[in-house]
Amino acid sequence: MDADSSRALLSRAIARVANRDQDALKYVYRHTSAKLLGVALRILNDREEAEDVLQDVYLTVWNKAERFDPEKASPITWLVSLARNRAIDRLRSRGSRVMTGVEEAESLPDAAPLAPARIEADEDRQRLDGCLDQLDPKHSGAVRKAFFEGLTYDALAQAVGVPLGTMKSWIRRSLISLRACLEA
Amino acid sequence: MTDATDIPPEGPESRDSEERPLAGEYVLGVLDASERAEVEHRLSVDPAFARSVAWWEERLTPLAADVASAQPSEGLWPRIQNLIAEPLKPSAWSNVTLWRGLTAGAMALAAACVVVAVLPRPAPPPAVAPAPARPQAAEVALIADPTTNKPMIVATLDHGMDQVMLTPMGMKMPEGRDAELWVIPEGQDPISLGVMPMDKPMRMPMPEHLRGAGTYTATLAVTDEPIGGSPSGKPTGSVRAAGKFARA
Repeated sequence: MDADSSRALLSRAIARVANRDQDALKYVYRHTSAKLLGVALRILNDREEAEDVLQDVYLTVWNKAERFDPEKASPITWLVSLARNRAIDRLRSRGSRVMTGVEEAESLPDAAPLAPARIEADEDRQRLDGCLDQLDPKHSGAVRKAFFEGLTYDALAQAVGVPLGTMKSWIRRSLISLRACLEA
Repeated sequence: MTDATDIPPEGPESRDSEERPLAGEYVLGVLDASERAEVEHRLSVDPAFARSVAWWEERLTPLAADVASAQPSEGLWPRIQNLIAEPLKPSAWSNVTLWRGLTAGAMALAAACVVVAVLPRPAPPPAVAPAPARPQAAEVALIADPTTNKPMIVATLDHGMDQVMLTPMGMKMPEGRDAELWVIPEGQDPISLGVMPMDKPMRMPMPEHLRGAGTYTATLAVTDEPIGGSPSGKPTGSVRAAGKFARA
């Protein structure tokens, strides 16, 4: 199935969830839970916590499906954002345990896109890749690591081994460049 | 594409953005807990900022394609399904006749039991149930589907009125079958308490076998029977739900 029709089917299913259709939620779960678990697991490095996050995410979908506006966002963006935000909040609430599992995370793949896991139209992805490629490789590496692992500036600076101020400047300059590039 | 997220970030966020691309930082995930809380508050009051966050989400999320998928454990979907299941329809909860005559204590107890019953986690200790020393104590039994353990009927003993109150919770009978309620005193044969409606709560006089010590040893069960109830006076259909009273 191509990305456009799977996006349309997912949007329709979320619209049906808003009408309290449990089968529609099951459809959304079946087509997105493995991806969302991967995203949450990458941030939390703990399966139990990551599954708790997923439970929260799908309960949120169940209760707030009417907040999803297919005109404004793609369904997978909405779902991945929900999962990342929940996982990051949980990571923050761990406090001192924030660094555990970073090494484990390092060993997980984050470079080679998995063909069946391609979740957005290639066009968007190619555009992002093109803009990331224009950055200093160290900077784009930090941006990717931040996105995948949900680390604070502080934790990110420690993990990469640069001073906090340097990391802030890398990320902020990268974001400003990316915005200009992606708007162009 | 012409969707709203194509509109470049604007408003307050772009004015100060040369120093700090806050929406992008939030979406990327580098903010600490207190900064995230501030941003989330701002999201609810500053639509331009919320658009900016949506713009970044739409642009950065394609990166998630690089994260390896992971199959959730088999128990996760049933857990979610259990949490969204609505055995108690809101209309049943708000039905005044449902609770008429019940003591406040019994009501709280019934509510507590129902909540416990639909949660997938281990039930909290019974100490959570309010147990005031009232002269009109009432006990609750969850008559549950024996295969799924899902409560189908809440039975409440109302000693004040010397009645049993039965509240069905979304229980369904096969087409052309009636639900017949039985009390099974320990070690004895089932005794019919009659056919009960599945769509509304009912009260019945306290059956003899639910008095005294029998209260906690007798089983209440529901079977599906021909319309009007079992012609023989003995259960003939399959057991749809069963349960006992627990000592409060």
